[in-house]
Amino acid sequence: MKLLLRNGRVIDPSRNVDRVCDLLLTDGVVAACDVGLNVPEGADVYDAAGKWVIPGAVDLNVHFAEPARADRETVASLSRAAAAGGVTAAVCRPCDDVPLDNIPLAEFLLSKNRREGLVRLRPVAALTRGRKGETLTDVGDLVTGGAVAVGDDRPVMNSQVMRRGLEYARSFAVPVITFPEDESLAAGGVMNEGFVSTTLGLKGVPWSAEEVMVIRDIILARMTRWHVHISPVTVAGAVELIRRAKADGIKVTCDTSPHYFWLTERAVEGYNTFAKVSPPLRGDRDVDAVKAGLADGTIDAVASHHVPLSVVDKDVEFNDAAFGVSGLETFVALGYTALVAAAVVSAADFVRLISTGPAKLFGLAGGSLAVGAPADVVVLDPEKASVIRAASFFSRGKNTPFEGLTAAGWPVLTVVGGNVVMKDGRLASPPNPALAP
Amino acid sequence: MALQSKDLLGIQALSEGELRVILDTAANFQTIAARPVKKVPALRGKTVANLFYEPSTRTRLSFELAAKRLSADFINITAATSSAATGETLTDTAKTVEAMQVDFLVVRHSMAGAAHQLARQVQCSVINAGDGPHEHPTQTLVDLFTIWEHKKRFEGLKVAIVGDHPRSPATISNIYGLKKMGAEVTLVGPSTLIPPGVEQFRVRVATRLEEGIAGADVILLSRVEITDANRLQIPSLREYARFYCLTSRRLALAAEDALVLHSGSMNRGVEISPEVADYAFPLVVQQVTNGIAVRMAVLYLLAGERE
Repeated sequence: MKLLLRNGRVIDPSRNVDRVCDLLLTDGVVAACDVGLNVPEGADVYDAAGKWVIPGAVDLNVHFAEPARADRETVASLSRAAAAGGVTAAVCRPCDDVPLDNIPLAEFLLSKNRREGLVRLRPVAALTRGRKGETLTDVGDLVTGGAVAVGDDRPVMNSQVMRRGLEYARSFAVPVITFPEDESLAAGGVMNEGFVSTTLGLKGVPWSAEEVMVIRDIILARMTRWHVHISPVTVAGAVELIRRAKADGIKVTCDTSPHYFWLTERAVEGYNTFAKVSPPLRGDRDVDAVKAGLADGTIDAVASHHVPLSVVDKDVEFNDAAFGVSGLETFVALGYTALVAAAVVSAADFVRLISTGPAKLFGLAGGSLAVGAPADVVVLDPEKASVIRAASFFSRGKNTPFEGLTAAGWPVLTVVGGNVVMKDGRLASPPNPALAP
Repeated sequence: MALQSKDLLGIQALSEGELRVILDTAANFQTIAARPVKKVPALRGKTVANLFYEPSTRTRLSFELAAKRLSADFINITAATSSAATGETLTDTAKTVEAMQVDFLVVRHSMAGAAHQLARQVQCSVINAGDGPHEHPTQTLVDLFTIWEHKKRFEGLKVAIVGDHPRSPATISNIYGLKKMGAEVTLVGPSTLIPPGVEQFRVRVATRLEEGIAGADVILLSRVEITDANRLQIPSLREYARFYCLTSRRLALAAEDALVLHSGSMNRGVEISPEVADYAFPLVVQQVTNGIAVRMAVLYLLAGERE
C-alpha cells in the first residue's frame, strides 16, 4: 500500500523539519519526504494542503477495562477512540479493572489488539503485585512480554519498595512511572483543597500531597541512578521541583494532561462529577505553572490521562463518583487549542510533546517521519473547529468535562503502519494488518 | 416578593433581601402557631416529599409539621444511604420522584451536593435539609430567626461559631447567612478544625475560645464528638473540653446578654458545660418551635414562586 500526502506542512521534531512538502508512505514505512514527489504507480494521493502532517500522537496514559468492566472500555473501543483522536500508539496503564501485574493480562491486551485493534497498544506493567505497593511483580518477565515501563498508576507509599523497584527496573532498562500523591496527605480527598472545596463542603487533596511524593521520587531517582517518570504533574511546586532536578542532572521526566492546563478546580462547582479526576484539578497558579513547564521543556509530554467510565460511575453523589476523564479523542485538539493556538508553545514543540518526546521516553514506535521510520502519521487540520460532543465518542467512556466546548486542530487522517485507520472521522474496519507480529 | 430560584439549596445563593423576606414570612407564620387551630390552607393540593438518605428526626419532623400546617399532602420516602448503595443513578431517582408528581422534595444526605445534583434533574422545588458538611440552609434560617427575635439587629452583631467545623452541618450556611445580614463572624476552634481558605469569607479566626467569644453577642455551638473522621483533628474530648467547652466563666467574657444557640443534641461537658446548657436549653426548645414557622415560610415562598 502506497500513500502520498501532498503539500502538507510536515513537522518532524526528530529531524527539526518544518516545511511544506510531500510525504510518501510505502510498505508501512516512510519512503520519502520532499518537495514535488512523483506519484508512484498505484499510490493513493491525499491533498494535505493547509494541513499539518505530523508523526502520530503517542499517548503515554490510557486505560481500558476489559474484561472486568467492558461497559467502561474494551481493547477494541480503546483502539477505535485512539484512531479517531489521532493517536497511533498508546500506552495502557494498570488500573483496578486490569491490574496488568502478570503475563496473561499483558498478553490479553496485545493479542486482543492484534485481532480487533487499529493502533499500537502497549502495556505498562504494575510495579507491585496487585498494585498493593508491597512486593515487586516479575518485572523481567513482563518486560519480555511487551511491557514498555513499570508503575502501579497509583501511589507506592513504601519508600523501600520504590527504591528496590527502581533498582530492579534498571536491570531491565525500563523506566518506572510514579503517581505523585502521598496517600496519607490526600486522605480521601475528592477535589483540590482550598476555598472552593470549603464552599462546596468537599474534602480536599492539598498541593503538598503531590510535592511530597515528587520530592521523594526525585531523591530515589538520584539514589538509584534510574529513570523516574512522574505522571501526571499538576501543581506549581512540583513543576519547579522537577525543573531543579533536571538542572541537577537527575534522570527524571514527567507528563501532564489537557485538563490540567485547561481547567481549574472551579470546574467542580455545581458538583460536576465529570470534573472529578485524580490528581484533582488545581488552581489558576498551577495551570500557569504547568503551561510554563510545557513551554520550557520541564514537562516532557502531554498525555490524555484517559480514564473511560460508564454512567453508573458518574451519575451518583460527588463523593461516590469515580475519578477520571475520557480524554483520548480530545487530547490532541485540546492540546493544540490551548498550547499552539494560544501561542504557549511552537508547532514543533507541540509535536514533540505529543509524539516525538513520549515515543523516545518509552522506546515506542512513532515520533519520527525519517525515511525508514514506521508510517505512523497524522494529518491535523489547524483550521477545523468542532464542538466536543461525548455522544459521538468512539470510546465507551462519555465522561468529558469539555462537553460543548469548541476546540480547533482536529486530526482528519490517522495512518498506522502505512494503513489508513481514520479518515475524516470515519474508521477503517479492524484489525489493522500492520499490528500482526 | 418571592424567591429567585425554584429550589432552596443553600444560603450561598440567597440575597439579603430574600433572607429578610423569609424571616418576615416566618414571623407571620409564628403568630399562626399561637392560634388554637394551627392549620392554614396555603398549600392545599400540593405534595411535599421527604427524601432522607440519613436519619435526622428533628429536621424530618419539622418539615412534616410545616407541610401539614400548610395543608399540603406529605409523604416520607425511605432511601438507602446513597445512590451507589442501591446501584441506582441520581437521574433514576430524580425521574422516579418526578413520576410521583410531588411539588416539593426535601432532601437530607450525608454527602455534599446531593440536593444540588437532584435539583438539576427535576421540575419540582428541592429543599436541602442538610447535605453533610456543606449547607443546611433551614437550620441557618432558624438561627437567624431566633437571633432576630432576641437582638432585633444583625448589623455589627458579633457572632462566634464554635465547633467541629468540617463536620458541622451548618457552619458554612451560618457564615453565608450572618455575613449577608451584616454580622461580624469569628470562627473558633483549633487550627485543625478551621476549613481551608476560610479567610476568604472575610471571617475572623480564633484558635482560643476566650479570644473568640470576647464581647460576642451570639455564640453558636454544635455537637462535638470523636469519630474516625476527626481523630487527627481532635486529640481527645477531654482536651477539647479543657480548651473549648463553653463554661460559665468563659461565657462571662461575652457580652452581658449573649445569646447561646446550640444546633443539635448537646454533649454536656464537651462543647457546653452543664450549667451553661441549662441556661441555653430554653432556647433549644424555642428553636424547635421557630423551626416549624421558618420551614412553613420556605415552603410557602417557594410555592408562590411556582404559581
